[in-house]
Amino acid sequence: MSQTDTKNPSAFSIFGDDGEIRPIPAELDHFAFFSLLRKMSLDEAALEAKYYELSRKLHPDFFMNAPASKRILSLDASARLNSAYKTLKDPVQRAVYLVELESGKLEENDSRPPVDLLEEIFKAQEAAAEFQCCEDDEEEAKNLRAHLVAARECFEAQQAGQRAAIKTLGGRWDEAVDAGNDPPAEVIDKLRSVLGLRNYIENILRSVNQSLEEAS
Amino acid sequence: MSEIIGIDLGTTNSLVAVMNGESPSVIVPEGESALVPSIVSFRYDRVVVGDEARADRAAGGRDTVFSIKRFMGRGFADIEGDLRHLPFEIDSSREETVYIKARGRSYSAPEISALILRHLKARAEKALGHPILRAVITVPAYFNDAQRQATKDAGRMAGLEVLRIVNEPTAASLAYGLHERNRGVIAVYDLGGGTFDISILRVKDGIFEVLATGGDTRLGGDDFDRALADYLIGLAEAETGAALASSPLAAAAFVLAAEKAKRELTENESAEVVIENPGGVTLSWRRKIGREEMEEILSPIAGRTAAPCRRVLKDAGLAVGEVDEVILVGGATRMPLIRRLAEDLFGKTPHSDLNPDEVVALGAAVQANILAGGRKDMLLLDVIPLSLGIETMGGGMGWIIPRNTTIPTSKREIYTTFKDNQTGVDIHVLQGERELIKDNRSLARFTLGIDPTPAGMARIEVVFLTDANGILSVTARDLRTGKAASVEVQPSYGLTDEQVERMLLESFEYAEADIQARQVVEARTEGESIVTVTLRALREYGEDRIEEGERAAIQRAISELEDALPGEDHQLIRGKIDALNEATHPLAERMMDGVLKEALTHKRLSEALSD
Repeated sequence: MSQTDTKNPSAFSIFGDDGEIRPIPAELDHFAFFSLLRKMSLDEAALEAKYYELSRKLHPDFFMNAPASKRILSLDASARLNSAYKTLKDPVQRAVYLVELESGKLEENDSRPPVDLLEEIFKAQEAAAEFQCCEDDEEEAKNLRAHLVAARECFEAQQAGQRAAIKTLGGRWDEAVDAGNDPPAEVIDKLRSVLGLRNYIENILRSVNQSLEEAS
Repeated sequence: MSEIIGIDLGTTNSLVAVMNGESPSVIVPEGESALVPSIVSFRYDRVVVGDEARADRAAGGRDTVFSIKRFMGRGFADIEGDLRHLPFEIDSSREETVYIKARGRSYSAPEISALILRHLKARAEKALGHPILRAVITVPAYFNDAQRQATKDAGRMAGLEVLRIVNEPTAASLAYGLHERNRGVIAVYDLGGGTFDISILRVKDGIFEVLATGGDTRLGGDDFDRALADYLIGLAEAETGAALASSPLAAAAFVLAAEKAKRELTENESAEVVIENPGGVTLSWRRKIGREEMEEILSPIAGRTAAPCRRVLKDAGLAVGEVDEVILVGGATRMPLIRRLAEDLFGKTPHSDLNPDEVVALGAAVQANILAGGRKDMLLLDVIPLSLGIETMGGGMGWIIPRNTTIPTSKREIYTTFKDNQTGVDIHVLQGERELIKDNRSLARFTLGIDPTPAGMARIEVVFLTDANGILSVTARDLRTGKAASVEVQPSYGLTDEQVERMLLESFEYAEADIQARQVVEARTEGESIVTVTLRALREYGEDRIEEGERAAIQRAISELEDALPGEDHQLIRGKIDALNEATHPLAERMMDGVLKEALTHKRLSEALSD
């Protein structure tokens, strides 16, 4: 088989008729890898069970004494399995992956934060930068730390809201897919902006956490 | 095929274990200890390892090397701070790898480690009565790519094929999981002689899935000894007026005394430190020290394990209460101070039913048994400890594979050119969690060789693959021609293949059997890579486009080579490699033609576009 229909989950099988691992096309997406429909929600327990089952069949540990060609296929397939599982098991990563699959990579202009939040972000970044160079002044350090902790809480609350929004929009996406339609453009646009903003805040949170960790 | 041994290559002690029926056991020669001190002494007439070398260290020799693990995969600049505590000499003229000077020759860190591995290999061969060629070696979970590679190099120099590099805490969990069919979330707190690891695993139906790992590769029992030694030196100097801190040999004597006191204070409430003429300084000094007094000195160092513990819980997405069991591994966890700390951090009484010194080696033997096909019901799914990324414009870190991703794992990226007729793309790979590349660890620089094209026309697919050892490899291909692009690797730290090769040749214990084994290993490696390349070429060219007879000949040559690979006859393997090359020759020529034609079509296309 030279062509693989990646939209049809039953089109690709990891194992050939002889039960051996087949080469996996570079373009095969994570949903097709697990023979899943391209939907926002999935049965996480079933995914985990499938992951364990495939790990037992694909992991390089079990091909140590096999011919080189089979060892390579096992390594490649295992690597693909692990990437696919890591992406799909987490609802947010899954949403980002699916949206990018259907409508292209998230770009900078997908992540414009609202003005009031932008102000909060600037203040947090400033505090993080100052926090790293004010070791001598204890009082100042204490204030900045308090500010950073508050900023972290604010951003984490934002993320909780975003998770809820992703869930709601994901529900609408899946309804369309279940009805045999493409996901509505409006849902895709809204998801792109929520996910873009989420990535943006994730980066800010990372640097806030880093400043706090380094100082402790 | 002979057994695969499991080796715990520790900072202070090393062990070798092997399966004994259904359970692993540490190899202990009669009249000797299970633990081989990781010490190498270069005497004037020969090199000794282990207990004998330990005696030389106690006698204060400058040609006795210990704690070499701290230098694996590191450069000179990384270890300058350690120099004060080292009685042996570091070669400061070598930047990229730590070299130790002993008796007029410089030895790289992997060469010293190889001497310890040889000793362990010989110990196993003597006990089992036949040569050993293959091993599983453990490393701290938090070891980066360069440190893992250095360990693998050391194995190769010792005449061992390293089938797997396994993380120490996960190896320990395998040893624990062997008999009890336990399930649930396990935290492994592993404080060894020089490194600290914390790993969180979920064990379910024989699958050991690591959820997150963290640690500090420069934190261990050694640091306790040094801190306590510095404290004692301060006291002795104040009392006697002797100048001690400035003499590395005197300081080394205090470190040994501190280590002894630390051990005694694990069992007893107080210990006596006795110092007699340390490193040639005329001094006789005694001091009683209590456990509480010691704990006060060591608490800040022990406390450094807390932050990584909190971070792994967060990374694993777990609350403290969700951890079902805490396992203690490593000699330093015998200290009451550490046991209390682990209990406070996880809210559970930790257990250490298996000997904390031996459990890692036992786990390595279990993993060796899995690889040998002896156990199919157990599977370890480990993770990469530090994120991998590449340098982006402006010195930022572009993440490729985030930390705690299950290995093996791969990531595919497409690169293009910015200038007309550019013939190379430089890629700088780093490891670490910081936003700026200058704060992360440089692993290597790659140059992708590309055929000249107009800017932006090239499409180079690069696959970053981290194998089950946590070691990265990079392959590239030109998507327009399907041709493999060359990847020229310049490791930032550590040894190149040629250097490893040379050290192997220079090795003074070089034996006939090793040459044979090495030739087999090398022929195998080459054979495997040729099979891969051929299979990829067949896939890309399209098997259906190849005439039946030619295809059958290639398939036959592949399967004959594959049959020869597991054997011990390197000349047979070489012969089959040549036969496969012969069979694929016409195909290679046609593929080259295709590349040329496509390049010409493209040229015409771009000329048409520019009109």
